[in-house]
Amino acid sequence: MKKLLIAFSLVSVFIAGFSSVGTPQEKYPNRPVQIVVAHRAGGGVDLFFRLLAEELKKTWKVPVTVENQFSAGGVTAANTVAQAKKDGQTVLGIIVGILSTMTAVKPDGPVNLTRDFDPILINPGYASVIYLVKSDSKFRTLKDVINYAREKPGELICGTGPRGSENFLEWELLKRVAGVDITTLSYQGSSEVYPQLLGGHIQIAGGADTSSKPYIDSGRMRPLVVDMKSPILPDVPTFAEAGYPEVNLITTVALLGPKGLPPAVTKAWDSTVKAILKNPEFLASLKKAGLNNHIEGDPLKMREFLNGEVKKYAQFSPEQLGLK
Amino acid sequence: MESFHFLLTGLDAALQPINLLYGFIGVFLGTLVGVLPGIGPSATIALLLPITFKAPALASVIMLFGIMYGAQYGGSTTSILVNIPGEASSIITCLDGYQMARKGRAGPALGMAAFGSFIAGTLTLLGIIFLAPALAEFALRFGPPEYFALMAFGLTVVIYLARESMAKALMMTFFGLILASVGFDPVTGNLRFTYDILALRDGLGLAQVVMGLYGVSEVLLTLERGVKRTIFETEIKGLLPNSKDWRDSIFPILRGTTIGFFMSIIPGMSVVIPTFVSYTLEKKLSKHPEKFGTGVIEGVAAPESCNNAAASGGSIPLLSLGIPTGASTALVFGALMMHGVTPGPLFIKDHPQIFWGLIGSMYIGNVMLLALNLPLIGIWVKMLKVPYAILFPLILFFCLIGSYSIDKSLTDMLITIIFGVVGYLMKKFHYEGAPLVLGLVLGPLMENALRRSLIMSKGSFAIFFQRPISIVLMGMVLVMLISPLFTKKRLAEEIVRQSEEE
Repeated sequence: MKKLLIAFSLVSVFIAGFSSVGTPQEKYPNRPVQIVVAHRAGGGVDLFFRLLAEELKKTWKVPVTVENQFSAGGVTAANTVAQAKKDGQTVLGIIVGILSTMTAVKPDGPVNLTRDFDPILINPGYASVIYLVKSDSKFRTLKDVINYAREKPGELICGTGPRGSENFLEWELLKRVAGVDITTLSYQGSSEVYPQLLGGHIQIAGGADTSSKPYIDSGRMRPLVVDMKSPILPDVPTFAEAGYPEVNLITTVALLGPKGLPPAVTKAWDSTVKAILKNPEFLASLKKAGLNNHIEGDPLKMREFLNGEVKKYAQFSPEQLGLK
Repeated sequence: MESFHFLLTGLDAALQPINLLYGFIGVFLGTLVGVLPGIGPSATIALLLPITFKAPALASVIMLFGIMYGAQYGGSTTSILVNIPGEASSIITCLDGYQMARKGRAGPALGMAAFGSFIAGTLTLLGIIFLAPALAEFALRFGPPEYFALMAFGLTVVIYLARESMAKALMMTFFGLILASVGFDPVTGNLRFTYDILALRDGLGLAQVVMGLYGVSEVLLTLERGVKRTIFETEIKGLLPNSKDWRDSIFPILRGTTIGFFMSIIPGMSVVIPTFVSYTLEKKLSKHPEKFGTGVIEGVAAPESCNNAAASGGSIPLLSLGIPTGASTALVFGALMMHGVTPGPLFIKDHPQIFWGLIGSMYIGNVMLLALNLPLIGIWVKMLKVPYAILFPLILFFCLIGSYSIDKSLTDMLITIIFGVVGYLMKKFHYEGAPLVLGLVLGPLMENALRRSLIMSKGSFAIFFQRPISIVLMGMVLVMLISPLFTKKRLAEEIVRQSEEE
């Protein structure tokens, strides 16, 4: 009986001790939260997290700061967060494709999406990639382009994003699925590739839907196809609607924490983000920035999605992914 | 006339208190570094670059451009008063300006330098208003082969017009191009020359390199040789040029402006070479060429208008083609990129508020500079009395802090120090920094253009000789590279030799 009493008291002391340790976690976040964004300030991804940070600040009453660490193609930012304390105070905002490609090419490499990170929230297809021709082009649909490329292999030139970007890989997929040869030139972004299209140096160009809308509205360019339904250009068909459902990549942003985040942290984020998504003001500012709101915070669904992403990228060669 | 409407909106934007403040800081700092030998606008812009990331995009470029043309005003002050060119662009001003000062005519010389700069600045703005949109539309005709030919042309011009040996300039250009290949391969994404150093993956940072090459190296050089400073004690009598001075100067000012404006549009030209050309031209046209170098006001008016026109005109290729024309514009290019604004053919269409706001600010900046420079010349002279024992540790301190702050990387600080030593050695052995910086800046653009062209042509170099713009540019490149073999004499040598004879 005495032994049992001692054991009982020991257990109660242990529980008490445990719960007192647990208290600050339950109160998460009670200290400043830093979102390390792996992309340049002012871009779409940066904007998404800055808009989110504003809302989080209001709800949590703690400072939520955004820091841009864009050097070394996002590796620096990924390392910073992977090695940070597992307390949810330092989290990573990144386009998942960057980590999926690295994980697919070298599962035991320095950065691994599923080994090193716990997802906090994801926004699949946060922005749509749209493919355009000049308005005087003879191509009206994606089918026209494929038919022309079949007749004259390699003659068409398409300006895409850098190797490894969704914008680049979608054309690699399309060429494989349709069995045609189209020359692709990699550019750094839409501000570089659109003048090339307008000047007639390339026949097709890809870029974000938001940056292309002014050219479509002014009648200088015509959209052919988009990788995910665009809220601002709803009439443009997706690859699936154009007859190529195999071209199924989308650009996804994610907020990730170091592996082993306490459940209290993910729970706090999930409930807060759910509440924020009901805020019409936040939704309006997302829309204004041309960003989608398909935000998902359920841990199981996110895991499943991220594993699927790694598999999707594993079908490409390291050369195509720009990681030889 | 649409341009005038936009210009009014631009002036309105430039008159916003925050933009006025940044503009004033820019031209004030510009004049300051112009007066101080050693620190040039490139180093100053590099130092201030991290600060601009926090400021709005328009305010940032207004400030950085203010430094650029402000330095052209300030550089002449020391050239005239103490025969020390504050800037390389004012070297030629020393010839007649200092002689005028010795004759007690420092006032008219300083006054004419300021008025000439003001007139040049105003006329250049008109040029930008009318020509920039046309140039922007023309720029769409530049595909990868044209861009490659343009880059090759820019680099060749710098080599051809080198002040020192052409072979040395060629070496420096290629050194810059090699340095530019560090980091990710633009096509395949492979890492090159990074030696597993994370900070090298994105290539050598331009600001880190320039701060070492210009800032740190100048400190090292001054430590070694000390600086001889004899401030001219003669009182400055009368500030304003008289009517005869005006009659003598007005055409040189107009010609200097034209030369500066059109030469500066060519990438890689910078402001030094146009001033030499303009001085030589005035001497050729003058009825009394023998008097040049003894204190004639045309010898001050022409190059001083020219360097100001060139400093403002240098913004056209940057803003309408997305091509920086020199180290300073390259840094402004970087600052714009940080704000998510890419200078390029669509810049004027996509960001009219920034473009016209900047143009408006340049006009207001010119007015501010005139107001600053005429009454405050006395203060500039006093600035020269700041002991270098205080000034140089500060320069070193700011260079290193600036380099660290860009990416919070100690490796970057090391890069700055290494390039400080490289720059020191280059100055000692008379290698120019400009070709190196231009190679480093244009390298990635040139490589991208070359490789895209070759992908387009399936590997055939004939693509550079099949398109009209590219044929013309490549032809000029070949002429510039081959002709010295036959004539054994170059334009720049001629100019330098002639001006040295005086």
